[in-house]
Amino acid sequence: MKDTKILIIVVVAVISGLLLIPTITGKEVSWFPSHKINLGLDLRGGMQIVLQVEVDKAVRDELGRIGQQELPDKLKEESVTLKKAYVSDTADKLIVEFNDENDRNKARTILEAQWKQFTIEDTRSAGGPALALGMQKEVIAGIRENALKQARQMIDNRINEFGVAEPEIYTSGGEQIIVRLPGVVDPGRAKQLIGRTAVLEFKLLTDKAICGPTKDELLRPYGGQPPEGYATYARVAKKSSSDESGYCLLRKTPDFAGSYLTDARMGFGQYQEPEVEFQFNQEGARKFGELTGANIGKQLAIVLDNQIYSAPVINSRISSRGQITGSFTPEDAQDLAIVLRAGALPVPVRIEEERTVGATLGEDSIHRGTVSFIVGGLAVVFFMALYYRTIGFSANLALVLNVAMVLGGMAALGATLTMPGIAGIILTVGMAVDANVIINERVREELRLGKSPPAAVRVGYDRALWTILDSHATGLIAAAFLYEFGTGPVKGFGVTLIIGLISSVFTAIVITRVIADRLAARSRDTLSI
Amino acid sequence: MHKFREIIPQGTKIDFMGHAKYVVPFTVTLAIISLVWMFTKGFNWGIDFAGGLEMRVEFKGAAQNVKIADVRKAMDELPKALNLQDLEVNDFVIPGKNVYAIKAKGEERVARAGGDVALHDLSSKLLEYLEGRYGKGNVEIVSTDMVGPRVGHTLRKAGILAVVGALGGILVYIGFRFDFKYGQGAVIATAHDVIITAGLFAILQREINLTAVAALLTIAGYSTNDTIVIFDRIREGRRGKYRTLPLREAINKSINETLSRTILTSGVTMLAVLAMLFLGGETLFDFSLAMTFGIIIGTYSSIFIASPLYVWADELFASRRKARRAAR
Repeated sequence: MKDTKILIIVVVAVISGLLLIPTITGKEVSWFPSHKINLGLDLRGGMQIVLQVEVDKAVRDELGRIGQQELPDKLKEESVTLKKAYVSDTADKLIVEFNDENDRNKARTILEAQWKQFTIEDTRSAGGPALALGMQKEVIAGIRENALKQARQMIDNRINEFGVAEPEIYTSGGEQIIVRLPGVVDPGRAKQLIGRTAVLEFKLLTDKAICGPTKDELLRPYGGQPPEGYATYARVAKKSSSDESGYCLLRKTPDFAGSYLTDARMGFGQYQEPEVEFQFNQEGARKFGELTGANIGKQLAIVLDNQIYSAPVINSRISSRGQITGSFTPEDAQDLAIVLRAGALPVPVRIEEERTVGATLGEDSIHRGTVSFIVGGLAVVFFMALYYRTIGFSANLALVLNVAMVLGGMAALGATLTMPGIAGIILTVGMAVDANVIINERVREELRLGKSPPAAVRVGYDRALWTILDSHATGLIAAAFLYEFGTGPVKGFGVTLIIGLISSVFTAIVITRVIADRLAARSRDTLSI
Repeated sequence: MHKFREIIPQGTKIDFMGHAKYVVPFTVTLAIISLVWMFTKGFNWGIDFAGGLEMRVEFKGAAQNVKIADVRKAMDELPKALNLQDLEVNDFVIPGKNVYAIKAKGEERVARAGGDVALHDLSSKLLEYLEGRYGKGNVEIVSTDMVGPRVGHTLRKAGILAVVGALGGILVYIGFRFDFKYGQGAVIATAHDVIITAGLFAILQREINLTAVAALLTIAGYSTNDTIVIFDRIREGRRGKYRTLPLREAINKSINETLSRTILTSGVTMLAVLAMLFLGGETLFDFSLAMTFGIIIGTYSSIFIASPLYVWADELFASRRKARRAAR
């Protein structure tokens, strides 16, 4: 029995030690199931961005598309005329207006029979009798999920092209994407790269579309509000030419979409200024050729994420190539090319949270964390040895093993060590000591009652067992909530605490017991405790 | 016979339940003051929960000797377009470096800030401004924390959920392992500790951030742990050698017996926490401060809050039983 225990202890100790080899030597061993302990961004430096993905816009867009295309087509087929279809303010319904009740009722019968993905209700709108088409919850959930997935994929592509080592990108809570970029990055550049929606559109300056220096001037003929289907767009300021600033009034629907893009590269313009050159695929080239061929002499605005980069005059038919000019630095142009190449996000994203830690602070944190760990640990170790003498050494051995097990466990689980995590390990030391104190005080009591050392150790450990289990269990409950609801560094704290509490039970109950039993067996009437 | 090194001499007989008469009103008052303070003056929510921007900036090279007053002046002269007034500027200690923390807190302020500039561009704009003022290469971002209003909201909800959930979980566990008479004592004592520590944060107006919540939860865990050890002993005594003693006396004996353990554990944990408090730097300071305070309160609440509550519940149950018996 005792031998099995010793065997278990040796195995655990050896495994913990082995798990830490990559961390200590700094080398990864390919066949070994353990890696270096991940350092959190707060320790190694780096950047974390939380992106809010506007998944509701995907639902709105889809409803809008159905209202513009599928629904009119469907009703035309059945020869029912509809007046107007638009997305409700709540963005989960399509409101369809009809000329009279008769048309509405006909449409209702048809749609109820054939469009099962909608719940259909009668409603009245300002324009007369109408139907409200509500999308089923599951369909909405599917659209949202898909938008999130696609956005994630796009951001993945962009970061891969940008070239950051070991990026972590994952979705969270149904509408967020969390991006972690370890190491030193240029935060401004990274944010430009990740946070850009990158919707490229081309809009002709025809009909009412004009440009001017101020919004007010453009909107004056329309009483301050843009006419239906139009919106104002800001022009990107350029350092070189003063005439190209201000705003343009443009149609909302683009004349040509950037989704036909196959390639984008940084290039240099005629004055050697950086620009982004792009190329369309075959279909795109044909369509773009038609558009430009038919509109020679007119201006074509190149709009990226609702900002006008330039609005050159079309001099001749252009088919497959074009360029975006702006006052780009080479890095700007390069990053924009990456973003265009990787593709536009299906819906806009917003940077909701940003955390950057430079190398200086990371190093300082590691240094301070280590120093306080060593000082605190040594103080505890000295105290235990002084107070409990021989048994104190056994408690200290358990303490060292405990820390090794926590670190080994973290390496094996691929957990991340953060600054609060270091605090967690220090607290684990406190908990482990507590277990030993409880046991030793119990054993002392039994000895005072006149029991022989072996009997005192046996009774003391047995009595202390449940106390230790109970106290660790409540600790685990608190730690589990920290892990579940904590984010970032706090989650790391929860992880270390959980692993630490488990290993603390093991070291206190199993490891020190074996040593205490042996010591007690050898000492006939006194025990150094 | 055995000679042990002891902090608490054998045979110590402190009348804890007797002293509880004076300690309970005192500490309950303390808890009430904390609660009142929390609800009137409120917490100084850090940007994790309130939203906002906090940047720690190192000044080096030609800007090596920039003083905090210079940085404050620079912030006062920020371009109007950024719409960021009354930024807080504080020291941030990294030995051998000249670092200051610049902070804009509060979701409304942040939403207002920037004008045409998006929230996430603010840090870049601030850096640009400082670089323009002190020269490129002379200012370096040590760290940036930007939390949008929506995230702040989610984080606050998660934080509250974590604290309340942990307390509930602990109650269920103790109810399961002991019984309600013990369970309510342990949970009220733990809640008392959390409230007073949170109250300390409110009174000192130290920031409540994610780390502070972690500290509060750790205190909850620690305090219950401490209470459980004592309760275990009380239960063991009442079932065994102190079965015939009056309740208060039995509890006094049990607490005296565990006293050296209580003091030792608190003391040793304190050693580790104090090391963090003095050597851990700014990142760990608030955490260690809360822990130091929490350990002290957690220790005395096990003795002076949890145990008397148990006595009270036990006596209440006993008198009800007696009344019922008399009625029959």
